[in-house]
Amino acid sequence: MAASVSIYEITGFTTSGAMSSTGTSSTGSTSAAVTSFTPASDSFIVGNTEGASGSTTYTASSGFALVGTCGSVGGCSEYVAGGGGSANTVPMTLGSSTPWVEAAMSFSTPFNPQSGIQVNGYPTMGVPSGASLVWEVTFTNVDSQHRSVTIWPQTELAIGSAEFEGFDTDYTQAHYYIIDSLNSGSTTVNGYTSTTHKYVTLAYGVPTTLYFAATAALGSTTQAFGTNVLTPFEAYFAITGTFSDGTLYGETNPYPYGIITQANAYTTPTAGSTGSTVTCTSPCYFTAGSKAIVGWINSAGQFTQVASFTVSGSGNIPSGVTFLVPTASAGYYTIQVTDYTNSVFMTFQQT
Amino acid sequence: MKVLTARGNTYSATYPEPASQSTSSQSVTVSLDNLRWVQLIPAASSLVQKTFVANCNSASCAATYSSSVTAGNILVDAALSFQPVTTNIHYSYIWYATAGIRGPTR
Repeated sequence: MAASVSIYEITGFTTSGAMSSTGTSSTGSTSAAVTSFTPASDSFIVGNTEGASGSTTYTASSGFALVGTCGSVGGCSEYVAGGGGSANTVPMTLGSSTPWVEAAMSFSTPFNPQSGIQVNGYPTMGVPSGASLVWEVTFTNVDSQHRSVTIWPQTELAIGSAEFEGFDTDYTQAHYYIIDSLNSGSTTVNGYTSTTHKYVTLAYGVPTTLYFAATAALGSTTQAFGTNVLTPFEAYFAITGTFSDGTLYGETNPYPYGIITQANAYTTPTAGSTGSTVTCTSPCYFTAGSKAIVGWINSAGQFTQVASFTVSGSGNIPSGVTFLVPTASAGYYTIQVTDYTNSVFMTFQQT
Repeated sequence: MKVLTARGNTYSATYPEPASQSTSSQSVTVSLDNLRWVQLIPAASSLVQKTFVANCNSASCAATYSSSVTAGNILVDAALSFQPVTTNIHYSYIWYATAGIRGPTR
């Protein structure tokens, strides 16, 4: 008996939602692969192949790297850090035809701690332009006949705004179809009915939270609004389904508006109990030369200014913008950086 | 609201209050102060280290990490074996674990 061993240490990935797939050929071939599976974007993917011949050459497929020098060996593995986002069979090429077996796994990246997930989301006055978003909103069934409403998959949130296309301004609209939920521990989402296996029902008078994110009905690919949207967006919910008495249901529910921003900012570190520094990635899209503040929003939604600064002439946050973490119980809080025109929200963990 | 037209005429109209706009003749209402968003931005991730031992026929394949393992990182172990107990049955395995305070070695 002999064996080959590949070991890896990876950071920033999560075991939550880890995926796997296998493949085999008893007759033999020079192309090993697993049954197609779709790792989440920015995953660590590893495939591990063994041939029956005990001595052949293994070649990694495009995008993957061999874990070592794999010539005249019984087996080998290939990996990629930062792969995923599309269907993959983790193929490997063998130097000579032989029966083979392959196993593959993927580990996705968890939510960024500043994504807003831990504080149940941010308000619509600082929606980042061009970002993959999940919308969370509470609906209440107020049907005059007190019927429940079953929600069909075509239900969506549509948001639209003017967008600069490089040479002129057009109206752009993005559609966010209903999903089941966020996927705990990773940046993937659960497509509608994928976990519940049934449509959501809004009982009469019961506030119910729904999530909208997918580019298509029943999909799990997340939508992103245009990258150059600068004006406030307008939004509406298009809801379809049936009443509990069998009557078809459909209505449009308007939402007033929200404010898109291209500005960005983040804190370093993102957790602690003493101090933190606020920076951004240039271009930061704050208003050049304007007065700006950093605010701490407590669990009651109250805003306290913890730092102030003047935006640089290029619209960036100058160096040295720091704040003392307010005394608070351990948990997640919202930080807002704003020049009163452009607002950026992020999450900070008080430890 | 009053409107002055290009011809100088004026007319006025009264619009319903926002609350009645959002609830009248609707079967489902949306809580206007509760639309919130989260951003699906992944955390920074990377491969810290790796190693490979081929064709080992020893009980210990001496596959060790060359630098200290950091607690909390994920350790992935991909192992292959051929011609084990039963001839013509071959295996490919992948295990993983989250490193504790002290990193394991093989």
